Amino acid sequence: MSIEELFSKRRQIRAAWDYEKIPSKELIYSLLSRTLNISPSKQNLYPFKIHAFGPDDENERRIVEQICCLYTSGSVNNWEESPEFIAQNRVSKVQKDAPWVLVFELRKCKANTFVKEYGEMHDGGNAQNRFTQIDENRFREGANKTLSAIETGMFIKCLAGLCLENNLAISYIKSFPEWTWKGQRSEYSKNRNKVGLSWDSLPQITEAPLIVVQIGYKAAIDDLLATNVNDPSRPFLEDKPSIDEIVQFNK
Amino acid sequence: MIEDSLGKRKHVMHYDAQIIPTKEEVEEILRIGYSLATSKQKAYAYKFHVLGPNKERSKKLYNIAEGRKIDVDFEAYGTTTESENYSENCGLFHIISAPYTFLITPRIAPPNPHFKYWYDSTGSKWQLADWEFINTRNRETTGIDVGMVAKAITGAALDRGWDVSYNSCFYNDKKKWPKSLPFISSERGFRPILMMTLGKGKKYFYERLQEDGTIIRDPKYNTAPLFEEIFEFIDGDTK
Repeated sequence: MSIEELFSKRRQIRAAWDYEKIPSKELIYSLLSRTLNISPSKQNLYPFKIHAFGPDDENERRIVEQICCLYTSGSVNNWEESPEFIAQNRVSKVQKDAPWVLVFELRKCKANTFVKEYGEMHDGGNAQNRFTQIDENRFREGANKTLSAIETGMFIKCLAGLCLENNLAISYIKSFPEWTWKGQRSEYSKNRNKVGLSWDSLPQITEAPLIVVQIGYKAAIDDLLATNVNDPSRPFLEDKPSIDEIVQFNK
Repeated sequence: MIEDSLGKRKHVMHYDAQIIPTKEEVEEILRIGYSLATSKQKAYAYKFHVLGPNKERSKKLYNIAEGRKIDVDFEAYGTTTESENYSENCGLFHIISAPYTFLITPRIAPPNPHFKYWYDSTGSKWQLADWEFINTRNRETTGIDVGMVAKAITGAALDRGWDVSYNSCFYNDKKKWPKSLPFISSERGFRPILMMTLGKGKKYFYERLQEDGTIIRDPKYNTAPLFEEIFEFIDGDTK
């Protein structure tokens, strides 16, 4: 199967996770480990950390679900699932709870051999002066957070390919309160969640969250909250911009 | 299978000057990669500025990357190009010989009909039409999207026998970018998020580490951290 055929299979699952068939911890561990082998990082430092909450971590997954709810309505959310909503959609259960939830957060890296040697060559070993990824005072700054985000995106794309090869679905969520580092105060400015929970509800998260990824098998049901990406006859068409809006060839 | 494909990627040191993809081949790779990419709110708030073969311009782009490295070294260690231990970063050499370079910047991204309806009807502000927001507060979110599309383009390129390399070391100050790249240097231009090169590799970075004996001396010299440093499995409820 070509890379186009593989990635074309991906759909954002919002309410159709299989509750009967659950990926094992061993499978998720293997997929993540293999992803690390094929995903690149500047200076091989990987400035992010992944917290994997699985089927046994129901409490944590409930918390993450309520953190990823900036609004009570909207296709990503509908987390309150009011009786009116259920009646309107003629369903008894909205299967929006993935068995595996990965929370990516910023991470201060440890120097690898190259970084240590570079520091020794220039300044008696003070590599943190040069590499923001390992500097306690600077790794949370915007430039390093953007680098971490780019590399997280690359990592997730590799992980998605491996998931799809194993017939697993993978979804992404970026709808949660953001943390922004305020260097002068040496603390995060933490957006609050007006309707759901905030990241402080999850003690494992101590650095800026980057993205939430859900993994599981898709249930053999229609996803009531699925995105309409290509059917203009249906409402709420979420179409892509044309490629000419995104790509500009220059002489 | 995808490991066979993406696992083939190697950071390029020098591209082959004789084997150059056509514009049509590059466009096909970009179209495929884009079709496989996702984006928050279908905004795709980035733009690929595709620069074709132009040695003079490529050297300028290299100087922008190496210049940034020199600045960082000076800020950190006080070293300059005159210092005894100065050496060019050969990890950036791919920029000099790359036949194609993609400068990926943020872009003002209007909502599609679905999100326009949704935002209008709920009185929410669509922030991705705001230049200031995009240029400062949204770079991280765009960075994740850019990472994902870059990897999809990487897969499409590798499947067709081409090589790609990445660079995120370049001037943050737009004034230091040439005026011939107005999408960056102009008042309403955007600082790039990522630079990516594409062509046929002639020499790869790992080969240089083999040649100077570094990898033989220390096989783990330039490898990823241990799995356990990056991943934490949380077992059971905390309550």
